[in-house]
Amino acid sequence: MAITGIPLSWYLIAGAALFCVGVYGVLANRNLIMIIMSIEIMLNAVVLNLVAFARYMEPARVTGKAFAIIVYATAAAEAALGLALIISVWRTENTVAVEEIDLLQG
Amino acid sequence: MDVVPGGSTPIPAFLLRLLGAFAMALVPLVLILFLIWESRKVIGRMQDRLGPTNAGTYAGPFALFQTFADGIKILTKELIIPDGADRPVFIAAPILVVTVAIAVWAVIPLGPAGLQVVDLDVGAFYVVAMSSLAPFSMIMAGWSSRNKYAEVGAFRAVSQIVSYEIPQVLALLAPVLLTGSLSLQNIIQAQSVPYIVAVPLAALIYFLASAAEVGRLPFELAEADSEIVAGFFTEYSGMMFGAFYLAEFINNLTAAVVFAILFLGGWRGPWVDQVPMLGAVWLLLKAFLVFNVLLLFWAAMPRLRIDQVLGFNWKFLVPLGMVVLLAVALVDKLLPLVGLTDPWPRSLGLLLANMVLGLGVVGVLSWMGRRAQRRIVRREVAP
Amino acid sequence: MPVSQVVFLAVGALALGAAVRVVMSHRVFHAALWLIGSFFGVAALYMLLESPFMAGIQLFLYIGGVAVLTVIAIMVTKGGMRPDRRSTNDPWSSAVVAVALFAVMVWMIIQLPLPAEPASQVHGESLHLLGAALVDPEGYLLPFEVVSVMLLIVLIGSLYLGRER
Repeated sequence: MAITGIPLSWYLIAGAALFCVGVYGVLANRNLIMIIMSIEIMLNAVVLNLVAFARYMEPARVTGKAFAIIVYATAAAEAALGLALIISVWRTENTVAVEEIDLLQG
Repeated sequence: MDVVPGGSTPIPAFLLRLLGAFAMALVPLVLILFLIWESRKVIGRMQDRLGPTNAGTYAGPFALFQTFADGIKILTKELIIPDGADRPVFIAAPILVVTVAIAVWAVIPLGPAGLQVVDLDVGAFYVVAMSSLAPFSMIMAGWSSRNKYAEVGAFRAVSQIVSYEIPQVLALLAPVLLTGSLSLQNIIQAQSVPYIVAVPLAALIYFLASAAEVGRLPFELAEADSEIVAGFFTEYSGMMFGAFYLAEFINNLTAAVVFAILFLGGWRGPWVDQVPMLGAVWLLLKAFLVFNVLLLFWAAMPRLRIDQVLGFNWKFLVPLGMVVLLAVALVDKLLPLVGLTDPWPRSLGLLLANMVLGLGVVGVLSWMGRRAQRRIVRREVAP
Repeated sequence: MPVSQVVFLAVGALALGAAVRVVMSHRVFHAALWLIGSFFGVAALYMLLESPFMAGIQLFLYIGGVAVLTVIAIMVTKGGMRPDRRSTNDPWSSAVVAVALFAVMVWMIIQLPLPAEPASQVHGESLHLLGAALVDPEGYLLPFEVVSVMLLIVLIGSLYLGRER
């Protein structure tokens, strides 16, 4: 027995809203860790879209869910690597504000 | 309690489900009242003293109501929040820890059919996911206290718990592999022979990893009583401390119950088919047994250092877990080719494989120990 | 209004509200805690989409993994910014960009002929199908193996990058 009554467009709009909140977070924040958190929100929105489509269109095919799992693994790996980089930057520069890390700036 | 939720569920059925969930949440809380008393008695006897007794005021036969008295005492104590602490986070931490501890009970099957809040397809995975939420309350408590000892305790506890999740999941995959399903009900129903007979190594790894996850000695770094005051809940008092204490006991009970489900056969036992409620009794008896083994660990063993704890995990348990999983998968695929598909021969075949693996590990470890011994002797002899 | 719509609106409000609190928080630690709230909301949305497996992965991987890492990084870097500067750069134009993007996406979504009801489940045990597809050579075996190699590389890389100097 399925959970009925929610149109697909509602899930897509929720995903779009989450994505835009993430975009705002990336553009407006100066703290590197906040930027990484905003990127995670964006990735969440993407996977939500994938799973919603997989459920509503053709549940017999597992393409959507397989894609979603691979995106999850990639997102977790990227978060881990990004945070390792941030800790490394903190040890040398003693700051995590985006504008103050400008060693390579010309 | 077996109603499927959906857009067209009538309201009374939904309320019935909520009531069932509430009743299930009360089960660990009620059991804890008895188990705390029992723990104190057993530990007292192990340490050559009586546990709580009726010296002074009467507290029930054998001081059974001591836990009530302690609970009332803790409830009436003042909740002190330090001045520089982060108030919302400080107050949210004990709430979170108890919520997460009880949330696992949503998928625990107490009987053959219907005595479960919801039979998720991914029950075993849900248990793992809920127990991975535990580090959060510790971080929140340690960070918001603004106390060096609390932060140190929080870091240690988090590193220990996050590390030991890996062998726990690897060992949990062994019964899942043998059953072919993540649902806890299916795992119990496939255990005509309990899995502790078939994969004792995986059971051992799961037991040790669970002991480390819930913070039992010898892995009791998080609240090393004599070293870092009280670890990450140094600054807590009154019922907030009571919540952490309660959550720790509930976690111990949950670990025992999940071990009983995965490896000891869950609610299986004589006469369960006729009287389904008897399943709950069998499950709780088995869990009680495992809980007491964990308790005896606590009473008898000294504490390990953080580097010993993490070294044990990464250098021993994780490789062993991976090898056990591979061996179990391989043997389970090869056995039908040899023709052994009935439960008992299959379990004995797997047991044989586990024994061989275990002897191999013991052999390797003793060879390494002898080599280290020879090196020490050589260093002492040479001037 | 059926129960499912009420639940969807409540859960969606949680996920979105927590996400907004994440990006607008002044203290990084609080932002991390709101992030966990948002992840919970998204996990509940997955349960509404009838994939308890994805919800479990969300809880285990994101909350139990990524969020714990984030909080540890915050504790190591101690917040990390000099307190006398502002904490956001030009919030108004960023908000304009985000809202414009949202408006374009919603306009596109409304145009499409999307189903209002989920397609019928062929059979209940889609987890088996997913597992079989991930190890099927004509299925998704290659991406699966590539992902495992990538995870190994990331493991070694982050250990190397985060080492004590």
